Amino acid sequence: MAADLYLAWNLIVKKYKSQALLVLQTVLALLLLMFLLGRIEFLRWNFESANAFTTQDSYFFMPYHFKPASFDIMDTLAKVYPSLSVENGDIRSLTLWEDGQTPLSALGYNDVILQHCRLPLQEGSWFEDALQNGEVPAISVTGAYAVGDVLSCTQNDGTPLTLRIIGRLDRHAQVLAFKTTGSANAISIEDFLTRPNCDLIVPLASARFASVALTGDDAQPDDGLLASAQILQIPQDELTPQEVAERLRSYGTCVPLTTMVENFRADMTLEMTTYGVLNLIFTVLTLVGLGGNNAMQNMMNERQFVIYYMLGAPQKRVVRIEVLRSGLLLGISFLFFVLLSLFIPSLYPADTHLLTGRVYLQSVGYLILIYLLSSGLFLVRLGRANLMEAYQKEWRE
Amino acid sequence: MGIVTQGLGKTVVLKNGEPLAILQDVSITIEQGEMVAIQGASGAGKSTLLHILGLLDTATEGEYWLDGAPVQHMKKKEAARQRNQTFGFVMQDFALIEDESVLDNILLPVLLGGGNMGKARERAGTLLAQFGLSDFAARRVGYLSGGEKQRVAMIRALINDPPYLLADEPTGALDSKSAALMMDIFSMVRKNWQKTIVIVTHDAGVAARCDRILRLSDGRMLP
Repeated sequence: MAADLYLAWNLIVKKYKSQALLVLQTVLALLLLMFLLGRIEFLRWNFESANAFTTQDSYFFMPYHFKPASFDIMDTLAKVYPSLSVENGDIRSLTLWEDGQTPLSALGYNDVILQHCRLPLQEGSWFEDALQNGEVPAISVTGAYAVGDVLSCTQNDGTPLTLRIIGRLDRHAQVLAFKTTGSANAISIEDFLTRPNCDLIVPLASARFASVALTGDDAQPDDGLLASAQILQIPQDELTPQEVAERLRSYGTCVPLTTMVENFRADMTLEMTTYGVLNLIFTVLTLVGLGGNNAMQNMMNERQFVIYYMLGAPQKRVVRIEVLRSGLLLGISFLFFVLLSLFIPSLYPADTHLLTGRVYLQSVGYLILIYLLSSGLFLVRLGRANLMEAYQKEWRE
Repeated sequence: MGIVTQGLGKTVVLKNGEPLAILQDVSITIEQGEMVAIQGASGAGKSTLLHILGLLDTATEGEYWLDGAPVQHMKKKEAARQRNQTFGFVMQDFALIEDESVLDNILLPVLLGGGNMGKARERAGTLLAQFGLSDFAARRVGYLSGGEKQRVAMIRALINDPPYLLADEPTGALDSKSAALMMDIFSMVRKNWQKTIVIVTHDAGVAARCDRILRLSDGRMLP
């Protein structure tokens, strides 16, 4: 085996210029494949994240930005539907201090958000029951804390808090946060799903369990476009979605959460399909370019393989040497790719791409497939054909 | 003991499905230590016979004994081992790897056979000196003349000290002076190292320097 590895390595080194081109092609192919597959993976997670929303009889309502000073949202909504159950979703960015020294960033969700949006967890449970001894339940976002950990923290004004970690957010999950960008007329779940940029999720001013009370700087809501949005609960057997939309048309934008989730999923599906098609086109092009070059390498090496056979290597061994050569090239290319991705972290922005282990495996799998497709016939021929006949025809005469 | 074949034949099937007999009923005996020429016109089946004798190809009919042991149905792995240890090959186009050095080419059979590379290097040095190529070890084969390349091929064929040397038109790509030198080398190898040598050639001059000439015509041995 050592001799075969040496021979395979030698095949690469002796023809280093053409092999370098092959490596370059492979690295570029990997970069682009990861880009496409990473984007598809990100979209897939987005698609799954819509499962977080409970949508039954729920509407997302955002009043128009420009309204008279006398406008009172609760009065207005009460006129629209007397038995209307209106809940204000509230999300705040907070800073807590662990042991009074280490700052922890946290997203505070009020009961409405906690009820309507259950983010996927890797471990533990979402906010269900109150904890003992006045402990505040918290979800670890970065995975720095394990389920069961207890943190002694203080708020900005020095109020002490004891947090107990009850769950860990899934590694690739997005979190709900009101973004400061977006159009008031185009509401999508994408507008308030974002990659986590905090350590913890905690309940905010909750009536259900011990929570973080708004104090000091945290008292002011985020000045985001969606910060004044409400979630309305209107049973569909009392008012249909069309009737609700009609009644609230003069006051703001009202969209059933079900519709938002469906639209979001449809958008994600369309984008995944688009990227899937791009991936297919790219695979075919890679097969032609990279595969063609690989096939040329095979032809250039064929005479050498016949010589190995002549000097005492069985045909299976000759095939093995060629497989080792291709494997070494793939390995070198992957190493270059990993180094490149370490030194250029902005290659795949985290807010548009998700590089999971599966994406890496898929990319490498694609490349192996391309190498196999371009080398397959050659390998079969090497293993089965009468090599001396080929030698006579091609190199002797 | 040597090489013995009985009724050896090789038939291939053409693309149109028709069979073509390349060799038919070839029965020969080559004693150990002989230098034998297989002569015939182009397309007579000489190279095919040589390939079968060297276990590079298999016959479709007949029997073949090598040093008393039947090899016709030998397993591929064993046939490869025999090629490495029992035979040395010298081909018309030298069958050398042009990108590699002279020494790396010479040591290739040892590498493939899992032999002792240290001892092989010493032996290669000795053979290079004997064949007048002492300073050539590190040179790329691609830069050598035809005669020099064929001598390198000969050294490679001898590196594992095989009992048999099989040569397919070894002088075909050489000028007359190099061809004559090559035949001197064959004679020297046969005499000093007691090798059994089989040379395929269409050149009467080359054949005349052998102990015996076996004549092949249209796949059949002439009496």
